[in-house]
Amino acid sequence: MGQQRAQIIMEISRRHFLELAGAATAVGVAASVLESAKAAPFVPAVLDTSQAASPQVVEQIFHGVCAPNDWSGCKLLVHVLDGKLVRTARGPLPDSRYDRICLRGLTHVERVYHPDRLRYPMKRAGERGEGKWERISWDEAINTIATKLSEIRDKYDSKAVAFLPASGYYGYLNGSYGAVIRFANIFGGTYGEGALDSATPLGVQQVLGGPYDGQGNEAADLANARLIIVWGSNLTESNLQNWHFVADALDNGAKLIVVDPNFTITASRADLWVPVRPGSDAALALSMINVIIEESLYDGDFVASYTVGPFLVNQDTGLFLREKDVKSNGSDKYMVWDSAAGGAVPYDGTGSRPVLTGSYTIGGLSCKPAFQMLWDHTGEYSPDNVSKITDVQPETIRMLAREYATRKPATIYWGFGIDRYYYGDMIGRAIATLAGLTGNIGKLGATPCGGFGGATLISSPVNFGAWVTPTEGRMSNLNNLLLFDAIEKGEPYPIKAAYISNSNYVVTFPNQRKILEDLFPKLDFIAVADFSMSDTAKQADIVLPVTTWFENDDLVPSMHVHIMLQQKAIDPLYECRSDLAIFSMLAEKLGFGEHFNKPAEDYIRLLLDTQELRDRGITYESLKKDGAFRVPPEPHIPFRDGKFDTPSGRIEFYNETIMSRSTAGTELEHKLPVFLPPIEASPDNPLSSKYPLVFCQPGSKFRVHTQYFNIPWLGEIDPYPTVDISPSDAEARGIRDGDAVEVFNDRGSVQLTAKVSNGIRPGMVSIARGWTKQQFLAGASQTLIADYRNPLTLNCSFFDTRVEVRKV
Amino acid sequence: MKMAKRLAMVIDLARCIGCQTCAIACKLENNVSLGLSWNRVFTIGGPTIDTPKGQYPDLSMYHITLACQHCERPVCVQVCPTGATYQREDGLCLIDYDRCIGCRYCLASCPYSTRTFNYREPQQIPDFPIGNPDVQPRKAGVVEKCTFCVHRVDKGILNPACVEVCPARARFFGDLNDPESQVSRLIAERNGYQLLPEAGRIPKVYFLPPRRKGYS
Repeated sequence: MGQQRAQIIMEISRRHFLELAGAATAVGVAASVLESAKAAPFVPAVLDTSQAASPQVVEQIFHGVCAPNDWSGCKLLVHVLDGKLVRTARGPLPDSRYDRICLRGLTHVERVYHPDRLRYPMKRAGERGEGKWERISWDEAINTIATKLSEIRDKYDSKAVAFLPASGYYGYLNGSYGAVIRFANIFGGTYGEGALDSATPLGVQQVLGGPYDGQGNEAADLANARLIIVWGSNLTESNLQNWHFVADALDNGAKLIVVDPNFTITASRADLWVPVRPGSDAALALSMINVIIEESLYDGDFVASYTVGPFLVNQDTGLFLREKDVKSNGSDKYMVWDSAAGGAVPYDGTGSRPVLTGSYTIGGLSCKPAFQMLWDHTGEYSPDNVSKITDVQPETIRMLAREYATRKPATIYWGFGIDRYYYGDMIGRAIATLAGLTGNIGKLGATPCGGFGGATLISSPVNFGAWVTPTEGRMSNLNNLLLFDAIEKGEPYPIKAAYISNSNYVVTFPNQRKILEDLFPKLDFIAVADFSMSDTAKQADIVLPVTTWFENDDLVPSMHVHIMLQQKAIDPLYECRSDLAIFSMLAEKLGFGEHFNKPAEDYIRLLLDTQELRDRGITYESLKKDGAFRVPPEPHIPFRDGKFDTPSGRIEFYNETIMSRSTAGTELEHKLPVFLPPIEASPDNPLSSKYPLVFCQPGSKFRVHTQYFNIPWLGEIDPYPTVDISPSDAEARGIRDGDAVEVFNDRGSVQLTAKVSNGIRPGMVSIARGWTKQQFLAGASQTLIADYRNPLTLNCSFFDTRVEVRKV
Repeated sequence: MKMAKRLAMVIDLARCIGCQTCAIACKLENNVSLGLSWNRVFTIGGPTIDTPKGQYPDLSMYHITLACQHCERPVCVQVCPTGATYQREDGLCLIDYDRCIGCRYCLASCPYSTRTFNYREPQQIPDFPIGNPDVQPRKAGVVEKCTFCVHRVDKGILNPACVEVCPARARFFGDLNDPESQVSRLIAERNGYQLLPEAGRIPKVYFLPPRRKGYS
């Protein structure tokens, strides 16, 4: 204890000095007045929006939701004094374990009243991106957009108009999955979908079935785990709302293992940190599988009962052997080798005792159980071999495997750090396979997808179809990477206009130079709706000022188990209007106003109008009182019944057919998960001599993607972008902490401040995601990233990137 | 002086992840001016925020938060020439902003460097007061610092804002005079310790040590 205390004292003493030295640092924000602070007596607030008639000034409190795309969706209480938002506070949920708020959710006052908020519609007065604007009326803005959209629809097709929301807000009315879809369905436009966070989930789906991101236990179940392996997630920053569940597990004696190339805050709290070479995660997982099988640590009963492990695979076709393959008039039943009968029998669930290993000839066909094939296949992934790929010691790999197979129940909490590589699907398949081999799935404390199960954004009981499809569904979905081609080359069809809302498109998607120089110039028209002048809004022909979340009513799903009411707490500021209101005006101008002429409340009622919710007594009125309702029964543990939504109904670590998001790419189809080296980040890539550093861009607690980039309170702690670099790489380039440096490759470059950190893996550099162009010294980090497209996954591989750094 | 209560805060460094939520919550609740902070988060590790000490891959890092320690023998009260800084019956060290003349003896004397000074009129983004309307406003020329959210304490609200919001559930507040209070029990069971005890000020902010990690 003494030494620890001494360290703190030293630390404080040093900071003390620095603090005094910098005490008079100026902050460049316009002065404001405090005189009125004492004016009104304070009366305890009530959860009622009809208190305005009180003779005293009452602090009104409204239900609110903080709903950017950070896996969170925190319930807020929104405090309003004299018609103005004065604070946001943590709000109560029906399941209070999910009550939380974070640093960003406490800055909404600064966000709503930020001096840089867009205040009125504007049209471009110079070249695109030149920054010259002319204020226009809403009438002119709506007329212009409606005219442009009509012209493009008439000249090309309605599909030539693309609606490009990313994930700025979850609200069913005003968010990325809200009125924009309803509008696009009626108009017949293209909706840019996916390409983000979607490779590893595809791999998991391949093995377990089910919806995107729908395979995990609910976050609160983390507390039940005896082992948590955090894999490619810095959850103490990016999902910090879930940390307290992990901390509860640790209080109960659980162990925490973190697999990450860099020493994150999460890694610093771990019992074991596995510093893995970037992009080699699938090899590590396959080696764990190898150890678990070689050392007989797998759960044989579970494998036999709930996976395709016992199913015989025809070695000539690669397909599962069916009864009909060996018997005329046979059924489609899978064949297994029955040890009791001493022969192959159709598997009918009961009676047969299938073997998992061996090699058999049945009716002249050479066959092996899928489990044996997995065993054979992972032979090349021995810890000794994989140590060379992953730079992890063989003994550490063995320990990781033994821990996962024996310290049960075990949860793997993976994050999108592993998804950001070209073959990001394979690690998903390998992790799901690990769960299948050990039975760490479908149980309390055991899931291969810890952290965000039961997300109501994924699986919701509301009447979503009726809301977004008032007529026929005429919207065309197009993957956002394929959409690049549609804009650039007119393939598979031309896109000529973009309506961008809830998205900072230019900073979200890769290859920024291509977007700005090759794609946007091909668009005849760009409209952007936002509440600040983002890098994307700067490229618009028309900019529309939208309301913030607390200026409208909405119904908001989340990445936890609740759906929440967002109440209009303050009037819209300036001339701002909600996304819903903007689409209403556009719809009227385009001749389908009858589908958008109701108040928000009516649409919320429509969303709640289902048998399930009526039976539960959940109505708009009940939500005004309660603010939220829990959706799945507690606890939410998928696969408890042992049933999987796969072709066989089992965990399919061996696949007859491979899911693909495009028709190309059959050469990438592997029936068992494999390790494929990253397309650019691999150490033996020819680019490594020119660009020796692997680049990553992790999420930061100071932003959610690009949101909150300009919040003064957050900027006081995290004032400017840095490139984090290891001491050895910095020294080799003559770079010292605080130096201005350029990070560059053939695609682009960015200049910013170097932050020398012992926690960065030598050979890597890291720039936290979400900074905008004006915050860099020059250039932009998003220019560094390629728009590679794996045809199976069609997912952006942001970390599969090489760069070099030099002092400027 | 025998205190009626000894209100204290406990911060569990095994749970704290340095997320800064307490720091921002304090600014919002108390309408703390841009450029000032009553509650700060420090990285115990490398020289800059959220960096570890050691050499890759043998590294370590944890975080602490630092605000007024509400000492039982506060030096700030002793040095204040006007009586603006005072100690209440429940142990809270507070500032009467009307009596503060801005001499900053207290800043110089505080062993924990947790006091801040309004060199100019407080500034914030909206042009109206924000935060909890019960909080007393400050003006240029006065010292300010953590009050343990006295406006909440006086209303019988259990926790200061930073304790209420902590997403790690790492902060606790209560009365040390009650041996059964959560803070008393945590300090006893988890070897809670104070910062700089040798300064002799008997702080009422306690830290629970970081978790003993590893497999050995």
